[in-house]
Amino acid sequence: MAVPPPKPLKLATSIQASFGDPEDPDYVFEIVSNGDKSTMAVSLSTNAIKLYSPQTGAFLGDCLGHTCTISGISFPDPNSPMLLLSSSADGTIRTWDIRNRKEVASLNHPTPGSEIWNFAVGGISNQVAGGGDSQVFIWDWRTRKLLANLDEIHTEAVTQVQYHPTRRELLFTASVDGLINFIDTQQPLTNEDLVYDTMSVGTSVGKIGFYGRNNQLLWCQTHIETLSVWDLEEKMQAADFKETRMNASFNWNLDSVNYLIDCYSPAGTDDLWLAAGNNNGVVGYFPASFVKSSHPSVPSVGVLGEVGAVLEGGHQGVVRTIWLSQNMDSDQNLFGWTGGEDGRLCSWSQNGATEHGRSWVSKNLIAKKGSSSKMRHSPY
Amino acid sequence: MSKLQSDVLREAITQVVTEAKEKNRKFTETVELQIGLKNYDPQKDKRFSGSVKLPHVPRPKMKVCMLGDAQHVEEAEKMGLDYMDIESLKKMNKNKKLVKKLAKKYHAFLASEAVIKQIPRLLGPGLNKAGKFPALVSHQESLEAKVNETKAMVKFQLKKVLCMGVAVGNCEMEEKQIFQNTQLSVNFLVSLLKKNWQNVRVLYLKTSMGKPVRIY
Repeated sequence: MAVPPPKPLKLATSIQASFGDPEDPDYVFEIVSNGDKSTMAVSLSTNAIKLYSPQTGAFLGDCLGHTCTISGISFPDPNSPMLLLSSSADGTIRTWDIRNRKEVASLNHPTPGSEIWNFAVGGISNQVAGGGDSQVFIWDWRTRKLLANLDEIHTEAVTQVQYHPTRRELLFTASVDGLINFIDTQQPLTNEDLVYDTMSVGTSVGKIGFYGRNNQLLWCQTHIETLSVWDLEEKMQAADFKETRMNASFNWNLDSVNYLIDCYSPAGTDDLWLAAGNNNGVVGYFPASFVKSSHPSVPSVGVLGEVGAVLEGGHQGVVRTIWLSQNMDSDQNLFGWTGGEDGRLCSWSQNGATEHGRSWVSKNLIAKKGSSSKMRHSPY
Repeated sequence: MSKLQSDVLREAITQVVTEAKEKNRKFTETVELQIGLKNYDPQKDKRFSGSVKLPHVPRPKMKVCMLGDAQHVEEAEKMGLDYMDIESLKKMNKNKKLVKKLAKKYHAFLASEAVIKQIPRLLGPGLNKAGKFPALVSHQESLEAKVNETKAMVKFQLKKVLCMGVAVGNCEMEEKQIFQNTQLSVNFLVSLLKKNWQNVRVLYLKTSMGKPVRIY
């Protein structure tokens, strides 16, 4: 296992990104940053995207235009740090120039009024893939031409589409129907001649991600809050983290873990960390490991270890997203930002960084941090 | 902690099962749990969908087919389980009509490791499209147990309205089994809601043709 992140982390900044009715607050859905880490984009349940500086937390402007829930955001091209893309249940994938925060292009669901649940930019020839209600769409990013409308491999909402980071021709799609498909996008992209493989997770899939020295592994989070790992060479399940929430709860001495948030793997390693949280807004990073099974058709039992990092005192509701700075040169103290259903954005520092409160930061929040951030020992 | 009262649930089960038996239908009625939610916004709250394994099989008549290698075909034959070997799958030659017919004939499929990897090439997307892509069964586990496990899985999915139903049993089951299935389902579903019981507006139990009976 790699050296765990320091524990506990210190709350540095807290920003109310959106207020809403106290009974029905606005949520922060997702935080992403661009290639040079000069800007982070934050999607909100108000259908708006807000831009901030990851270093200072300064608000830089917003991108307005979506008319329904935003389902995904990303800065797809590290060489074009000004280009932000977003997908929405309004049936569009929009491109924004963050310098003037104007929409510069849009891809549309072929059936107006239908949702797009996720998108990805990649492939060999600059494609944009989108996930629909049971369809997978592929567009040419430059010409905006729809190259494929694949509607036979999934039966329910396609919640994830992702191109493999090294085998760039492979498009992975995951769905509420419990299947993960991977499509060879260099082969004909028609229902009839599609070249693809299917792995059956057996329950509604929420989030997937690649990791491992050769990106040969795939982690998979489900909507029933379980984690599994899949071996992409064997095309088989490698590990099953049964009762994931309960096992995470055993590995810290705080209130029970209620949900999984995301996974993180240091680049080029086979190490995996699971970020999970409880309904009080506390987040922990748990090391997730497994011993390779001797029978490829029998997944091994995954094990969660003692919590490595605790992010406590920042949020008062479900945490939905974590963005990790990963050795940002300009501010090595910054561990990352979190966002949640309390409408807040919180930044976390690794060691005694000075807290910089902003004018809109709630004072009692900062004051709260001191008392609760002490790491207590595990009872066994 | 469960807020579902055992005596209320027991009475409800007796009532729905008795009413179903009074009006004899030509099929075994399913017992369904219906859930109404509150303080939940499908636009922004997390998706509420998945599968759960119940302690007792709610649909024993569910037909399962084994897409097997030689060893699994032999085991399936012994226990009277329908099966297809790789040769007969090859003969289907991705023919859409034949695959569709196969998918319609069964509720679920199981497949050996050697077979499951070839399904897209042998059958095309027909099983994906039918929502019946097989589950993997290995030689290290009992086929019979796997068949029962498959039959014991039930799906739930909240769509755009704040209510949904889950199968928890049938009218020929012992009431105690329906009780255990309902209790497990309710507790599991509630554990996935962020405000737990504060998200539950109402729970009903009903049979396919019967009237709903409120249990919470």
